Amino acid sequence: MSEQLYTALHTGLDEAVSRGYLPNPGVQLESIDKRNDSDSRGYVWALRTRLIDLGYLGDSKANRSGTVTDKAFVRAVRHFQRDVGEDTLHQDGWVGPKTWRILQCLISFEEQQEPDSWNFNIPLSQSPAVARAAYLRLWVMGFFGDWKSTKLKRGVDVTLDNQAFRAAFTRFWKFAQRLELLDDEAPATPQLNESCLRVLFNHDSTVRALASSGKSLFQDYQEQIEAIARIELWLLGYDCVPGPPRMIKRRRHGPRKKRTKWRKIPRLNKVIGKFWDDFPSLKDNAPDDRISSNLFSALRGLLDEPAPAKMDVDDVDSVVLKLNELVSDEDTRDSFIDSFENLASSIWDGVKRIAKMVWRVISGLVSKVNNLARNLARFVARESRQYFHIVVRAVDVVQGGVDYLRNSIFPQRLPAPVVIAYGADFDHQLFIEKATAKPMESAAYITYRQLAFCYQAGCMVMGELIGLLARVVKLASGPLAGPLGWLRALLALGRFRSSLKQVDGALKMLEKNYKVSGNVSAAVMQIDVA
Amino acid sequence: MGVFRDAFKTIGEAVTDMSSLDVVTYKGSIEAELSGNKMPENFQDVLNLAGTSEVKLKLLASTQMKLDGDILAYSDTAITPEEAEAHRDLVELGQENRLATIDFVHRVVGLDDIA
Repeated sequence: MSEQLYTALHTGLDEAVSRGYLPNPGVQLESIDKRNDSDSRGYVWALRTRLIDLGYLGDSKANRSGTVTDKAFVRAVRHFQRDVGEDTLHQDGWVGPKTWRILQCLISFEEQQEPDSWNFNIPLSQSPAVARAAYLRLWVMGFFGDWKSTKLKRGVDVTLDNQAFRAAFTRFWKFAQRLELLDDEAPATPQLNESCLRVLFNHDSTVRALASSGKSLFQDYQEQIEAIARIELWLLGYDCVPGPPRMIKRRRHGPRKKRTKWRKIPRLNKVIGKFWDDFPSLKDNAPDDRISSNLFSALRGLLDEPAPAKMDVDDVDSVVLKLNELVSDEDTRDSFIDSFENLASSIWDGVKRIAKMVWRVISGLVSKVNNLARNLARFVARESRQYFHIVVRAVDVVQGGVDYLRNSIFPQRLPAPVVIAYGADFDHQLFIEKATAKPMESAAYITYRQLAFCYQAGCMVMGELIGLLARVVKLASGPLAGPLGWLRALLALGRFRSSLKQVDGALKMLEKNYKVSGNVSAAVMQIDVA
Repeated sequence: MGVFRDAFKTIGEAVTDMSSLDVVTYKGSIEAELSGNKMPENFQDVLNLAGTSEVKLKLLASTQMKLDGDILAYSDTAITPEEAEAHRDLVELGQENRLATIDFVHRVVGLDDIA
């Protein structure tokens, strides 16, 4: 690698770390409780939001905008981990890969919709965290009726003894019955068990069923169906958010008066109009600004659409050429490039936001012109999300590797029955105290092996990522990049699937073989070999 | 110094002394006074703190592997199977880490074709 490119790479990576876009693999942790401080701002923000939504963290402005670990955050994480069940998660107050995965299972509308795949070590009905997730889901889908007073907060008792919760779940159960989502063995009244939760959490099935339901259902459950539409449109990257309806102000039409009059209209209506602008071929006779079964038919169509990966991403040059033709107008092109530069600078900021931004930027500017752009947007959004997860997990591994490089004597806290000293050239000295019968079973030895393994995986991961980044940077900013450099770079990610698959494979191997279990001072992890 | 720059530099330095791999296992005791929160950063620091009279160590095993494949190994007759296994394991780890580092450098150097 040329010296210039090499310097540009580590400078760029370090700058991204200092701005909080990337997790910081070199952070010197003061205590085990501060481990999430090494993560990117986007990640911590996402964690806080999820904990607030589930009612583990108070819903204050400070808690929503905070990007560091504080006592309340750690307490909330521990509470959540305890509620999930100690056989599933350790109560260490750290949101690592396992805690994150469970949070995603409970919160996300698009991932892991089958509770059977959550891999809890206790029946789901015994986990208070699952009950909270069910409550939250019913609330977001509008089944509580009153949005404000029923919002899930800290201290709210979430069992089926809670009257509002039971009523909302029962209302949903009747709705599911009319949508024919319940099988013959389904109980008459809902319970917090696997089979009922399967119906509640399978968002895609609900959307599909709404596509073929009659008008009367839309009348009877208008508020709830609007809430479900908001969720689905939000997932597609449109400018609406799940939960209570948001209103926008519009000037009233009519003769001018001294005082301007405004009327409030639901943001959803505007978003639906935008959706039909983007997908005119699916519209049929659907109304422009209202919920209808046609809308859900279109949404179902998009759900069932084959994966956009079939697009020929190897032919990046021709795609960029085509886009150059589409955005031939100079102003549009400038705006397009600006948007992409913003996107590029915050690409690791958050999964959902990346997908939304990519989707909006591309589809907003050129989707009216050609289907190519829509496919492109879906492709890039999907790929970006996938890569974000891999990179976040990869940096965790590199963090372990950096710990290995940093410590040349192990454990750091002495005295200890087994001590391992090692140099940068990997020469080792092993010291065993007289009374130690089985050195390999000592905590120090096991932890040392874990860090050494992290180092090996980290070398591989960094090698692959650096290769990938170098190519992307070159495509984005090199002499051949052209005005759509960053777009070209994003598309080029598709070319590096094999690299990312290797990284992903290494990470899975690492996560399968080891589990983090305890806490040791400073940046050292204590582990149990699984 | 940035963490990535730091990591690249350390790995680069490690590559300069890869001609042999030495693993040595000792058993015994070292008495040293540790003051305050400052812990020794490497084994030489521990020895310096202890002084020769407080170090009672017995060499249990030693393995030196040269890059050309020559291996020089010593093992005390009193070494237990567990201690021997720990020693062998560290030799393997050292080899694996060295290979991972060399492989990493290869990958980075191999990027010349796109620069």
